[in-house]
Amino acid sequence: MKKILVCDDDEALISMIRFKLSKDNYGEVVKVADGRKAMHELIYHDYDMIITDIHMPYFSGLELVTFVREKLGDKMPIIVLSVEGVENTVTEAFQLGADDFISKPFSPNELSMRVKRLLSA
Amino acid sequence: MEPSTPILTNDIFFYGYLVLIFAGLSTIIIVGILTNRLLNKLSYKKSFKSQKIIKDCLNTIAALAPDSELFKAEIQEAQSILQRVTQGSPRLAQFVIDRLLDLYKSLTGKSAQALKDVYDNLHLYRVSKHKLMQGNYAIVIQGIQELAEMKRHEDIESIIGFLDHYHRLVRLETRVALVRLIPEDPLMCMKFMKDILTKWEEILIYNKLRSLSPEQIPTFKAYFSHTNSTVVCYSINMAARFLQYDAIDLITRLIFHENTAICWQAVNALKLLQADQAAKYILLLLHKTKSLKVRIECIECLAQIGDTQKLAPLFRKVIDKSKNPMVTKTLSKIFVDWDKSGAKKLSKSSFKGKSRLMISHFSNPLIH
Repeated sequence: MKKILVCDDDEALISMIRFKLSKDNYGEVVKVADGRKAMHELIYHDYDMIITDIHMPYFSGLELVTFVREKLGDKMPIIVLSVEGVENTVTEAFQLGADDFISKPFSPNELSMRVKRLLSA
Repeated sequence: MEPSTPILTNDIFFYGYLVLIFAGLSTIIIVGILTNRLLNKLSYKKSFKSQKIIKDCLNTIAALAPDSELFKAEIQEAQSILQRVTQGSPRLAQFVIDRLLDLYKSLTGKSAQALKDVYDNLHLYRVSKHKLMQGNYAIVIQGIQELAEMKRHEDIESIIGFLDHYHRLVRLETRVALVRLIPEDPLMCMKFMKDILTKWEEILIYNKLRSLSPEQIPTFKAYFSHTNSTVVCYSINMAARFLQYDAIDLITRLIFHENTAICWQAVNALKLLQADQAAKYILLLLHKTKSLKVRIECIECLAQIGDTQKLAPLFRKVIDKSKNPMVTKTLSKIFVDWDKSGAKKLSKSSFKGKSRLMISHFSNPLIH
């Protein structure tokens, strides 16, 4: 059973994402509201995938990507969520080691497809 | 005869009654407080439960909407539960609106449409419209924002009246809402602009303009004669950004405007449009204007569109005249960057005092 960590400070959105991914039977979905809690989760629990927003309190999505790749040395797939028109940030996220990117607003089905692709890769 | 005994008995009764009354009152107060706390707790629990139901229903609608054919029954059930829960409870209706707004801005396609349908079908727009009639400006703003976020084109007429509201923030929010609701005419709100155009509005309008196809971009020169100087400045800037070359003649006339901000913006626009036909007028302005900011812009503009050799004496004049060391430094730097060979010649020529020192300093290749 796969375990996915969803990090975003938008409670309504992460709640919907958790509902969608659980409905599509991707496994257990854990939601956290900021980068600090996300790091704490990643230190003490094992995850198969991370879906993270770029702008979050305490630690940004980019810092979280760096943390996973450099400090934890983990190769788990990471999907970055962000608003439209931040090309530089997206490029930076890919350089740091993110696997995919989805710009807000997005369709829940699009996210689900990308999760499926990365989990089966 | 013992008079003290009945008095003592009376006292005991009197104090006894007092104690009883206080005890009774205390019991009533304590029972009241406890009942109130219990009712509050129950109400909180009920509200928490209702909020959880609302969250689940909205998640179901948003997440399953793209496959609406497959999950038609589930979506319909969620909608009817939402209707039942929010009926007669303005507080829960507001909770649904807040949650809808949070989700709506992050979702697209069928999910976003399904959320909008909830807002429309549950008549939640009535809650938002009711806010427009309140006396408190903050509540009015909330109502305007909700209607604009949920793209209620039907309510443009209700919102437009607030362009003349006594409160500046309501007027601002109305203009922002109109830009969002009428994306095909982002300049519409500028027609009625009485306030200073804020940076936030400028960015919002610019983003909407960028999303239009080239043939939809409006002609900005129509706003050059607006009574509001911030609108004039913005439209000049936009004419330059969207490369409306047919506006060059009008912009050239505006460089001599009595308002320095318009004057500066016009020179800046000519620089962006590379309007070399305007060089002689900019030279004229450089001599005439007393504003250092405009002078600097004139020089920057001429550096890009004018003849560098002819402009050297002008530079000397401006540098020598300026009492502001920052301006002198800036101008010298611009000049050296613009034509390094010219700067070398000038450093050996007839420059005296401050300007000579500046030019030789900036000609030093080590500082580039």
